[in-house]
Amino acid sequence: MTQPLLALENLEMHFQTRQGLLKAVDGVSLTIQHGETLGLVGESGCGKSTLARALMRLYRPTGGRIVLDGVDITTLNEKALKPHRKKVQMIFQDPVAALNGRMTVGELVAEPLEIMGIGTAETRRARVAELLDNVGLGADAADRFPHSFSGGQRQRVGIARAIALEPELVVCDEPISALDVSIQAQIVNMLSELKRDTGLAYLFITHDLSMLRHIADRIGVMYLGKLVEIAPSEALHTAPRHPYTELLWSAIPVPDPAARRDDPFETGEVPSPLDLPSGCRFRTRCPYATALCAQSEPDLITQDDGHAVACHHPLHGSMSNTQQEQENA
Amino acid sequence: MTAPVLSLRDLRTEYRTDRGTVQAVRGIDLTLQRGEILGLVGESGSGKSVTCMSILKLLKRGGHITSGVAEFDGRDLLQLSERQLTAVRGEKIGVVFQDPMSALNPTMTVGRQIVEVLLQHRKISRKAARDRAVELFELVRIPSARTRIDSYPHEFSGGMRQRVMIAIALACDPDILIADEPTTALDVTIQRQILALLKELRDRLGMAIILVTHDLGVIAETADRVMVLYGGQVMEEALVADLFAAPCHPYTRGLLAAIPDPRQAGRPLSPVRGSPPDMRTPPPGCPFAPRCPQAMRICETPPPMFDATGNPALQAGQRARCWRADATAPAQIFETPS
Repeated sequence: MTQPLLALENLEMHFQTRQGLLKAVDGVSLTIQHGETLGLVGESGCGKSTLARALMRLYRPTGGRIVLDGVDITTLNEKALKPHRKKVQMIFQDPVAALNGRMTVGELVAEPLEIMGIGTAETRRARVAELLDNVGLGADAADRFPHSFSGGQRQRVGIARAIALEPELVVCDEPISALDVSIQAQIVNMLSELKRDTGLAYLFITHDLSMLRHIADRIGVMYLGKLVEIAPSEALHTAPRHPYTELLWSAIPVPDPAARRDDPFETGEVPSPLDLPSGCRFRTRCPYATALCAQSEPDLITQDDGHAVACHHPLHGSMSNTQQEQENA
Repeated sequence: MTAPVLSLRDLRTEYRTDRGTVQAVRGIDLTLQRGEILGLVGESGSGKSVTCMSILKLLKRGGHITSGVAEFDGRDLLQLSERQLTAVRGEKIGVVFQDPMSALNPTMTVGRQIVEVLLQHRKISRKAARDRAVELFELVRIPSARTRIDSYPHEFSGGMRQRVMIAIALACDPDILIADEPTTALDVTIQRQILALLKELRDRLGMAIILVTHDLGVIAETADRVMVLYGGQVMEEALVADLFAAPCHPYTRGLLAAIPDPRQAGRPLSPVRGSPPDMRTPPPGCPFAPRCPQAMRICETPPPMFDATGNPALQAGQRARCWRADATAPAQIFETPS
């Protein structure tokens, strides 16, 4: 396999809080290839946004490594990070909340170019016009202010800004959650086109599982700071192996009244991340949990088909952790 | 059919802001039957929340109801004094909002908040109110109800907080529960639990529910009947099965095409082009016309509601505000694109 664009090796992001040690990200390993879209899902508090911020080096990880294009950036200082910063950009749920409302759209999109000292005022203007065109706003948008735009248009401004430096990876943190349904599809289709045209990769973080299936090549599922399953998108949807993934999938509302379900779906809630269960973190909600699950925490084991799962009793006939260990022994 | 529990006619609500008057609701008619779950679906700015908040006159600053009748229990709610309305709110009509944290008092235990509601509306002792509060917690399936009742709102998870809100809304056995995006801030697993709970409560208590959401999946899972709102007007209404099986309005069809079906992989999404209208200056005719792939010249004139009369494409009870649903129109109007 070629060198991945990004590799996280046992990444850890722990926070000391007044209530105790919060293991927001607790040993996550994954890779993102050039031009790949990796989706990351999980309920609130699972650590998916913390993982994104740690890999952006907005935090300094408390353990593990972040390797970007073969370079370990885990502990680089701000100055040494600068050349790597342009390779990874981020899109937020509400782009404008994070932007200066007094700047025009043109100034906002030009800002990353200025910070990186790219081009002259003139070439930057031309580049901004091109970028605004690429995201479907048109060059005329440059002189307007973001507050005069709708939510979907604002997200386009955020995307134009994120791709201004021609990054190799764009981290999208819930980029469509705040948008209306009719607009979400516009943004998702545009992101797909950008990827096709420029070959960039995405880490797409969302709680909207049904949307993810349409854009992700592979999907990782997080639960309480751990990656519990990661697999090609289709396999993860049609044959999930972790009981948590199965639970998440079955919770998605189906837009078909004929498929309506009336069971109470009493599946419990996520335990406190400050007081994690012993063994497998999902066992308190898992319908298949056994004594083994309380004793030992299952490792994430990659099967022959590239489907990785951390479970003692995986679904769909795949080999369990313990079986695999016995076989390896 | 028996008399509806709530009947709203020609509701019009506007918001006066520094930047102009927003015509949030522009003539909405709504009937709610006893024991029915009516879904109101639409995008932000469609008027779905403002419609609900108008019913109880819970409008934000700048909001004014300019016309309409809201008939409930033999009275017009829109004509009641603030004092009379207070008696209706919480007792006859309960409300659940998207963000339970902002609706709960963070300095008071949740039990005390329910007790206060009960004491305000019922002549019962504090002890009886507390017993009722425990009963309500059990009804909405909050585990260890008897002890959890003495917790503060921040000690609950988002899903449990929403159950607390529902318990408070149900305290006085209301005839109607208005649930405004009750699951939007919750994870999907919790969302499914809350939706199942709403259906169960409707079955057990027989109250009617108005469920406001932007999510057609939530509608499909929960509602009996649905109204699709856009630009402050009802674009289409139908029984939920009919709306999904045979949507009539191009906006409804656009919305349905834009949502990813979890059972269909990789299908490219079909967005609705353009953006919703600025409701300070809504389009003169059909509000959806500027985005409609089937717009005609006549769409610059406001379309009335068409029903199944003479139109075999519409089911009984299905209505659409679209000139294309006019079965009596001469064929040539369909041939003049806008």
